[in-house]
This record gives sequence, structure tokens and C-alpha cells, in this order.
Amino acid sequence: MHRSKGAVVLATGAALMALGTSAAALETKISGQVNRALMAVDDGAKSDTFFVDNDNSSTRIRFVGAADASPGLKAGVLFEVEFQGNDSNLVNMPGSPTGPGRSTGSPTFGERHTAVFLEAGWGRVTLGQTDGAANGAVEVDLSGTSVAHYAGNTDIAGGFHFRDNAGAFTSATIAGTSSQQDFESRYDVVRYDTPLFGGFKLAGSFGTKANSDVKELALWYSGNLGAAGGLAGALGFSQRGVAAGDDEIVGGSISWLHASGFNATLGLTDRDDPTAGRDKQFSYLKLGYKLGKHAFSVDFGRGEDQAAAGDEADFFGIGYVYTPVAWAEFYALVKQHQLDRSGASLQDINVAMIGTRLKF
Amino acid sequence: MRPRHALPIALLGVALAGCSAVPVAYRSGTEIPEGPGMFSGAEGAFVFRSGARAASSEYEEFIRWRAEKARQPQR
Repeated sequence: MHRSKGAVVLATGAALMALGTSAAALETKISGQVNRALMAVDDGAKSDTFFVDNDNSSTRIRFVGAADASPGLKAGVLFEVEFQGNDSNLVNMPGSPTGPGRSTGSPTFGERHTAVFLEAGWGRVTLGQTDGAANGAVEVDLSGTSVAHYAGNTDIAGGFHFRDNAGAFTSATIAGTSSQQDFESRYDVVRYDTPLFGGFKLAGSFGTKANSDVKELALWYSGNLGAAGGLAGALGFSQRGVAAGDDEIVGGSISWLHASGFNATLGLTDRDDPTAGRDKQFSYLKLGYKLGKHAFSVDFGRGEDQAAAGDEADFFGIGYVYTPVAWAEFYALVKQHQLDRSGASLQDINVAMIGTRLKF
Repeated sequence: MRPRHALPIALLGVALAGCSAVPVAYRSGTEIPEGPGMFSGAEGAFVFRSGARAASSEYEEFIRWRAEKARQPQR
């Protein structure tokens, strides 16, 4: 691995030298979005409303710049930060055992991407804080309703605790019991992506997350099948070294959007968690329909054995997104989370949300 | 068929379908959407382009001048 890191350093240096010796076409783009919502939650004992930043696709600013470093070689930077107040995945009922309650306090910028890349006919090498090779591989979704709901179900109301029949909080949360286990997210990596071959590309990354070495590998696909519509999918693997051994996740997703507007999405992951000493599973199914400016979908998901052996955490959702113009989306979501735990009787959590994402 | 087996089988179907498909770029719906922006207009981003192409031409002209100068006999 040291050898590959050295190669990246050499390549980056070569690109910078090339930039220093020849003027090049330079293009920078700044874009962003604001995504705010009103969320209502009923946990069986209490109901409340929350003004949130939708963590499915948070409020953020993105800066991308690239220049021709030399003939056939492009060098660039990617910088993206989010700015969330009352993150929809963190807020929870006042008095909860953990968490901020209805407000997370003053928002601060959170790093999403701070990376440099080199791109040529051989593919792309990225260095810095960015997506691991498999990040998003369980979230491929062509439904057009991802801003309302997708495999990452815990991004909305993930911080809420289930209550028992007496109304007392338990330690079990939505996030802890039905995570989509989307590999290792974003962290400091060196990543390589092959060029596209017939719609396929392979990506591999190595990095460090929370003082642990992480390796990821993923196969990505996206293609247009003509009258049969569009198809996209990914298969990923991650391995993170922890004290008890290797924490490994394997899984992926596939999504099909027929020309009629009908769409179907499937996602599955299996995590071998040596710290917990058991496998943790997640499965997800979404069916939807897109017609012009409207997109509608229903989904079902299940997390198994995540917070405790024998846990079954189910969720059902209905989502709708209206896109009157390309830069504005108005969305609505209702969903229910259930937790079936041995020896416990827990109350369902119901969530409703309306919001808008405006791209500026 | 167990659910865990469904994905590899589905991806095998994708591989076969990929043989006849036209590749398209996939963009996650949880990223900043493509297309126009409220303030940024049709490009969907505030775009800054340097006058680098002109500078590049000037630089190339300088390189040519320097090479020509080097070929000339020194007085």
C-alpha cells in the first residue's frame, strides 16, 4: 500500500509541475442547495414537531475545479461542506436517553469532500476526504423520490428511541436497529476508478477512518436499455480493521426505471461485526411510479440482528416528490418503524414530513 | 430463493443486460441535482473560466520565440 501511496504522491507532483510549466484551461463551478423540512413524530407516548434539515440530502455547498495539467491529463479539486441545523437524523424527543432533543444548536460546517483528483484515459485517482469506493452502493435508486425516502431510512428520524408499553424510553433507536450499512461512507482515502466499460466501472480505495485501516472495492453499473428503460446497480465490499478482527460488509443494490415510469429498487447488505460477534443484515425494496413532474413510491425495509441478536426492525414508507421546475422539489413522506425484540413489547414510531429542496 | 441470493442473481442479469445497453452516468438522488439552479441559471452552477486559453497561446508563442532566439547565432 505504501507503494501505491507513493505513486499517487508522484503523480500529483507531476501534475503540479505540469501546471507550473504550462498555462491551462481552468474551470471552476460553485453550486449548492437548501433542504429544509417540517417533521412530525409520534413515538406511541408523545408526539411533537421538528424543524429539520433533511439529512437524505443535506443543505450544502459544492466547489469543483479542474484544469488540463498536460495533454490528456486533467487535475482537479473537489470541496463540499454541509451546513445543517437540526439534522433530521439527530433530533429526537425531549427527555430521550441520548441526543439533542428538538434542536441541535447552532449549525457548523461539516466536511463532506476535500479532495484532489487526476483523471486521464486510464481512469481517475482521488486523494483526500471523499467517498470510499463502495459508498452509496446500497443506495442506487432511480425512483426520483430519494429526497423523501430511500434505503438510508435512518437519515430521517434515526435518532428516535423506541418506547416500551409503559411509555419508558429504551436504548434502541431507529438508527441502531435498521441501518442500511452502506459500507464506510466518507473518510480519508486514496481511491482509483477505472474508465467506464460498457456502463461498468470498478473502484477500489484504501484509507483511514477513526484510526482504523479501511479497504473498499465496488463494481458500479449504469445503462440505458432503450424501450426497457434505465438500469443501475452496484455491488460492494468493505473491510475495516477493529480490535476484535475485521469488520466486513458485503452487499449492493439494483434499480430499474421502465420507460413507462414504473420503477423497482432492491438493496441488501450483510455485515460481519466481530465486535458484536454476529452478522447484521439489511434488506430493502421500493416500488414507484414517475410521471412528468410527479414521482411516487412505497418502500419496505428490514434490519436484522443489528442492535441485539434476534432484533427485527421493519419500516414502511410512502413518499411523493413534485418537481415543478428543475431547481425545486417539494416532497412528502409518511413512514412507520417497528421493532420486534425478544422479551420486549415496543411501540411503533410514526413519522410524517413535508419539505423542499431548492438548488441555487 | 433467500433474499441474500437475489442481489447476485439480479446483478448477473445486469451484466447480461449491460452487453446491449448504452452506458449512461448515474447520479444519486441524494446529491445536489443536475440541471439549472434558482440563481445560477441554465448551467446549474456559478461557473468561472479563466482566460487560460489565451494565456496558453501567449505562452506557446513565447516558447516559439525563445526557441527561435536560441537558434540565432549570438553576436
